[in-house]
Amino acid sequence: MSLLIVENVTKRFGGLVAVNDVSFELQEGEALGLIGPNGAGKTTLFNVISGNYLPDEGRIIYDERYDITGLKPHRICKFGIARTFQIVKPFASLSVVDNVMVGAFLRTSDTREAERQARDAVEFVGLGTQADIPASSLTTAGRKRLELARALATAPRLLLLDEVMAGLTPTESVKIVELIRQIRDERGVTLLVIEHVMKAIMSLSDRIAVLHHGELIAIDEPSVIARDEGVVEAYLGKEFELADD
Amino acid sequence: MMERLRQIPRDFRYLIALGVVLAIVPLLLNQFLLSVAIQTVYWAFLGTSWNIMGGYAGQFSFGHAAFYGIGAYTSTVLLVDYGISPWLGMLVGAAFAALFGLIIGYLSFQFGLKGHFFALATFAFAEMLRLVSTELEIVNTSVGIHIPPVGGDSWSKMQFENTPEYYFYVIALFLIVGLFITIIITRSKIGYYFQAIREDEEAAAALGVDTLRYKIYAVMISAAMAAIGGSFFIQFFLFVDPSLAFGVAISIGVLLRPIVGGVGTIWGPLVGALLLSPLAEFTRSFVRTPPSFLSFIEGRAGVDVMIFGVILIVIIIFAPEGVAGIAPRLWRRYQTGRDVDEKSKETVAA
Ligand SMILES: Nc1ncnc2c1ncn2[C@@H]1O[C@H](COP(=O)(O)OP(=O)(O)OP(=O)(O)O)[C@@H](O)[C@H]1O
Ligand SMILES: [Mg+2]
Repeated sequence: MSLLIVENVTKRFGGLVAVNDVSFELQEGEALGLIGPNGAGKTTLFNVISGNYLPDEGRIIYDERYDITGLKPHRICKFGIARTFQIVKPFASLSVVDNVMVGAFLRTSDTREAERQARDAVEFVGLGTQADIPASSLTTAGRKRLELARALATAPRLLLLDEVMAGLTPTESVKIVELIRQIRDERGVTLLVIEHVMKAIMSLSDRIAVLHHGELIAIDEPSVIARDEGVVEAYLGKEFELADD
Repeated sequence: MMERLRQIPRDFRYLIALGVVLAIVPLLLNQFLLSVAIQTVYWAFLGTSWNIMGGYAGQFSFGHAAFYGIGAYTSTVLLVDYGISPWLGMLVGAAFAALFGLIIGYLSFQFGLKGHFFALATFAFAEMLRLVSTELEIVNTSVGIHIPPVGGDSWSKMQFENTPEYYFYVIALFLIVGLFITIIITRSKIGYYFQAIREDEEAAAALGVDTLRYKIYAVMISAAMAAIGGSFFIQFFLFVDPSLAFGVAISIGVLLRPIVGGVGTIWGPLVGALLLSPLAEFTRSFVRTPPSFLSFIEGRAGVDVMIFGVILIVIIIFAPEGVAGIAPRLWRRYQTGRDVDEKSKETVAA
């Protein structure tokens, strides 16, 4: 079943076409990687799906039934689509667990229940020992995990992850990859993952979509993508060896 | 009994303690000090109202006089023209103020007004009401309305000429209720949503927070409380005119207490009021009858405002989180300092 259908989506900023006539389908339970050079339009596509931007053309269909194009972000979240932000947005003065409780309150109005769920999510992403410190005192890696925990606390069916590994050390990245895999395998959450770390995205994804200048130039299994001439030329280039080792 | 008390969350215990203190205070004060105490608690209540919208939800209001004045005029007109008890009148005023908050909140937020621009819009709305009321017959234009004194105590008319302690108890009860509401808010979904909106609106929306709706809720709750404060003060002062009701003195006075005491903290507005309101009252009476070597300030208005200005600058520079904001930090530092001392003693002993 297609959980998400992106249909001929185009988003322009003035004369710049950030996303150009992009279409693809995301199967329930699938992990789809989204790669492409800087400025390819990956984050913009996320913003269209999550309701932060209205597309100039095209539609977003959720669960084969709902046309969610142009709905407000909070309504899209309620449908079960959660996202993280490439530039992290912690609620700085709130504690880590209070940050995550905001997400948990989407599905319950009971404060204790929200706290219980939030602590679970905080524990799950490995921030257990920092649950009660202010979010502002987290490291970059900690903030990325917080983004993840908050999104998870909304109990999503579809999770959009925008470069949750950027700025992390290789060891930290490995741990996050493991977490993301668990989110899919144990919780059955469908994933759309933007990532520049090739090794991670290749091992994590069932399929990979490649954006270039706003256009979808390829979408296929990781092994096929790694051999695709157009993709190697447009993007993988020298980073290609990374995917192979 | 102590066991039972200990199970009550900390902020509620503080609230109970505050209630006890407020019950005793009037017994210890003379006429002048009682009037200072009434003003202090009244400003603490108004500050508590502002704090919900400006502190927790982060929607800075520079025009709280709009809501205050709606309350002040509603209960007064209902009393003077229709003989309706101010107790009922203040609830009607609160409802009107909440409705006004809904309208201006919707207009402002729908058009994306944020930060300074939203603050300026609230100021403009208050000024607009002030100007309209100077022309409006039903509120007796710029002349204002006197509430006829009943000459004694009357609970139904909320006048306590013989026993001004009752004024104190009424406003003290309002403050307790206001703080109780604040504590409930901070412990529930609505309070988490308010603070999420304050910290990062986009992130809040991405987590399912209907930001427009919750910002409007914050304005409405805050507005209703401010209106009740307005009704109360006019019952105490027995006169209202456009600048008393909608003047900028109210808008500034209301936000000064939480800012000095600690924005977005439960006890900040009360702490701010305890610092500023007695100061204002003493300055005012000092200026009325200064000692001979300072006779040149006699009768000059605005000295209290100048002192407020200086305090505000000092607070903003040295303690931007306000007094209630830095106090817990200093206390923790003191405590950890002590813990370290004790630990080092233990190590020595071992
Ligand atoms: N709000 C905006 N207004 C104007 N232009 C924008 C806006 N957001 C993105 N762009 C432009 O759209 C293009 C695509 O940006 P986008 O952020 O989607 O790229 P990306 O693939 O996420 O890149 P990166 O890998 O660097 O995150 C870029 O040229 C960017 O400058
Ligand atoms: Mg991006």
